[in-house]
Amino acid sequence: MKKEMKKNYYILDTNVLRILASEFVDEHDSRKLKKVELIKQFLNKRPGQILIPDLIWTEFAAIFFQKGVSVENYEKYDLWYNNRMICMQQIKSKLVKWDAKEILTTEVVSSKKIDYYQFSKKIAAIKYQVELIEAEYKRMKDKLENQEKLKTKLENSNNNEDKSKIQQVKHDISRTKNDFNKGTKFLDGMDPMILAMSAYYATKAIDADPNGKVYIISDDVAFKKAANHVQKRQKEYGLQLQENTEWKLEVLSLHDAAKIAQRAVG
Amino acid sequence: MRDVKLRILMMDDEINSKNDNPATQALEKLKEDGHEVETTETMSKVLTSLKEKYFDVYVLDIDMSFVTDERITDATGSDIGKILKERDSMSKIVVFSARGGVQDWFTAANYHFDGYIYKGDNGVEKLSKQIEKISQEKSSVSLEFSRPKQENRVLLYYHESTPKEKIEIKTIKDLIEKYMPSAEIEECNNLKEMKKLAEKESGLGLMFHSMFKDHSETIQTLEEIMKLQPEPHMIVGINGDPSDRNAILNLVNLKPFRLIDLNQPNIPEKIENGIKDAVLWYGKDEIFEYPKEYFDLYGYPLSEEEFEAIQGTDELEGLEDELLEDEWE
Repeated sequence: MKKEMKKNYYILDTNVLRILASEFVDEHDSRKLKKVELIKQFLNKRPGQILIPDLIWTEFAAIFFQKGVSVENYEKYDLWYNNRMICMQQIKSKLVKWDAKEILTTEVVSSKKIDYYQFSKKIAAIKYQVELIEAEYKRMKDKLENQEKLKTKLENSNNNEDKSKIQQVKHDISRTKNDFNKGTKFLDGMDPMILAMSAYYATKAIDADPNGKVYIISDDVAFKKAANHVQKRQKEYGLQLQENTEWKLEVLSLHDAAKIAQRAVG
Repeated sequence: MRDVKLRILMMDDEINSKNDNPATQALEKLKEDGHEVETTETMSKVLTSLKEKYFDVYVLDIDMSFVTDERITDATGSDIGKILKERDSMSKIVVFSARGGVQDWFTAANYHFDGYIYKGDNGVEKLSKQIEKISQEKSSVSLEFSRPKQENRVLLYYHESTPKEKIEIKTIKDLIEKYMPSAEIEECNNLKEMKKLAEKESGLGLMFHSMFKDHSETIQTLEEIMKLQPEPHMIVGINGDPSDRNAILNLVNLKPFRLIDLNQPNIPEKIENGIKDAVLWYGKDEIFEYPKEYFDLYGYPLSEEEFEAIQGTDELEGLEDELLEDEWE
């Protein structure tokens, strides 16, 4: 029997769609533009392997059309709306060209593999084990240290490009300190439902191809840590699917995706 | 609630002329019809206006040589229409021109302009009717990106007048098979049969004829077939003969997915690209790539401040992650 080539699938988080949108913004932050190129390079090589949960597409549209709304007068609102729609259409165009597929809530809800609502609620109200809490504290402490280290490196640099990044790093340090004080966030908002849909799809994909893997690509560091932690300890958290099926899924950051892109297509 | 029908920007190098001409007459007529119409004599103003105001419709002249445009010196109204459509696939573009040529007709079709009206021959009235038609259309904005289940039936109409030295029916069939390997091709050589075939669902339609005569029955049959779009998209190949303006513009105004000029070179390549794009955009309106020409005039659709306003609460990967990577390793 001919062995089928392994085919991986990549579920895009809302922040990845937002990164794609920043290509149409008068953006001067080279880091953001670098992220756009990174994600485009990765996805351009994987047509037919990209998945978007319908919740994520809806959430993304809501972010675009329901926040920062221009209400000065209707004429300005018309222009504002049209500009947003232009961005949405350009992202839609990319998704069409990549042959991206939607994961529908209706399919997941009606599946026998998962009790979707029960699963989502369990994640939403999860009490994390000590490993994640300690790891997260260390991560944030290390992050602050690295940011201070970076600030020093840039301040001591003679390179003009490095100097131009100092302001951004100072802003990042301030944000990290703020996050440290007010506490981190893990799987908030629609994340539990997205994880449920992804777990369902991961199991469905493996039924079709035992060698294939399903990944979520997200630029959200805390989401990655929490989701991967929950996946690894799903038995302990009582988060296996129906009939005690284990779901295999991994969350990748953009850097992780870039490293995979350097190795091989898959 | 707005109390005007449509907001229109009209671009014409004779719009401020003291002499009565079709442009000034059209301006008056559109205002009488209840539309809010602004005007400009230059192409660059159309592009810079994209930052200032949203217009429901752009009415564009082709030859803009009577007025000097300091910023854009080697373009026509067709080029501006193309940029507008590439920037915003939902924008409504109507050409109103006396001097447009064959290339402009085909550009209008292939960029899905919403009308091409010849200024002479009762043009003002026709423009008014076309704008009225646009005002009655419901918005068709959709955010669906997943491809609908594609019908594998392909309709192929190849009239005997089609120049075989330009494209043979076998080549077309091979190209269809390349992009739709499981397609079932149903072919015919007359329009009535094509219309009958088109009554059942199909994935793609291709029609090749050296020239569609300006006969009302032919136009009506074509209209009925074209109305089925975007499932299927129709690719049409004809001779772009300047003396067949009326017939060709009738076809342009039926909005084929692709209109291919059989007088031009590289016909197989154009058909292949048409089929590839029709398969990609099956069931949807085509979205073009954001334009780069004269970009400094219209820029990006969003400012940095506007984008920051929709910043999420996710903790994103930071600069330190990449710049310190070497040290961590």
